[in-house]
Amino acid sequence: MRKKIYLFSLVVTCFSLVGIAQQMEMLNDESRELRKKIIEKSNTTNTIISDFIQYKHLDFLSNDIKSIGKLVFKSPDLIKWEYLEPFKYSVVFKNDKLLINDDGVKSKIDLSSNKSFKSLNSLIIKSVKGDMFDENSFDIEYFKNSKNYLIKFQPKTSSVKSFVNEFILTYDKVSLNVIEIKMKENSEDYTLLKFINQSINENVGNEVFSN
Amino acid sequence: MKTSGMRFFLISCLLILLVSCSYSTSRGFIEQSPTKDVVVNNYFSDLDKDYVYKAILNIYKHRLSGIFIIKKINTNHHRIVFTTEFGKKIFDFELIENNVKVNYINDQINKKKLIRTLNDDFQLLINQNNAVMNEFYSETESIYLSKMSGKYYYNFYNKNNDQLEKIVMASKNREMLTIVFQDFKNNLAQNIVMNHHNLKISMELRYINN
Repeated sequence: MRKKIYLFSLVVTCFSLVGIAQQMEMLNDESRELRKKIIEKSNTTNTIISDFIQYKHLDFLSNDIKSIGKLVFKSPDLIKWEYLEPFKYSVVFKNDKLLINDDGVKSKIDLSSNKSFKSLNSLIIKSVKGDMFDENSFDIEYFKNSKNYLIKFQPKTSSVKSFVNEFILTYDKVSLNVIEIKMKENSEDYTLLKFINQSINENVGNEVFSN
Repeated sequence: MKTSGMRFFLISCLLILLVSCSYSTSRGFIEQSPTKDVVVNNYFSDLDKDYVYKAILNIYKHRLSGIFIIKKINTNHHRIVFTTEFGKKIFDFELIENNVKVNYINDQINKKKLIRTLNDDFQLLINQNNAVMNEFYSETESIYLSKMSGKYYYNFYNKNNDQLEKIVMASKNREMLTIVFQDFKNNLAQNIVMNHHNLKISMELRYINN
């Protein structure tokens, strides 16, 4: 029995070491340099077109809930988030309004008086562009592995904390595009967005942002 | 003879009285002695299955759209979670026996009375084994009367395929809540509609393959 426990501990330790080897915390100078580069990249990102796969992980479920869609962003604040499978649902953030199209049923929410929606919109834009480096709002930690940078943003404000305990943004090391956003909740549950087929700074007409 | 005539008269009076006091939902159906002790609702009974629906919940003035998830965790233990399409939780309930444990609920709808109502509604939706108190029938349906937490409800089964098609919670005078199950595939209701008749609360669920 003792031998078994010893073997088990050894295996766990080995796996942990592999984990540590895969993801290393970055040094201060290195992270400062990375942050500068990402902000520069974000400032020159005028449009993003990308497909996405969303996984909703609820710890008690057998499988994550998977949905597929398309994201279009145009600077400074136009964004269309469209789910295509397994349901049709899209939202457009435009001129302080949220335009919703729920499989043909259209509605509108005025965001000018809705503080929490406004901050959500701003968070979405910042996370998609990859620039969430606001130290008043987040505790920030930098990591890297062979292919990617991982930056963890822990919200300081209780209003954000109540629904997202931590944002983990994964950046492609070469392009510095955000390729994954993971939003962890206070429990083991999280939402993971994977971006694929990304096009940056392609021409995007304003007509895209109608709903 | 006189006594038996009087007995007949009394029994008739009693029957008339009983019929006039009968529950609104079963009016027009023929009553018979129960042929079953228990009727079963198997729509959320598989421990290995995640029941995932696209949903619209109308709760008073709020129209909430999102993903509605039901998972059987154990006997008499279900988890019911409602999230937005983006994945943000609106509520996260655990139904254990007749009680509800609230793991999370959005501030906008965090009201004790509403939570109690939703708990009652969801218990009715998922309750697997329903003890039969009385039975009725029509040409096409078998109807079984049950009771839960002091409330009476009717389970409507299609006579042809023995499929549960409707649950109606009712008092003696009026129907209070109706749940309709539609569009069946692999013993699963693809569409579920729930309507309160005396409260502004309703729910539409459309099954999504996951």
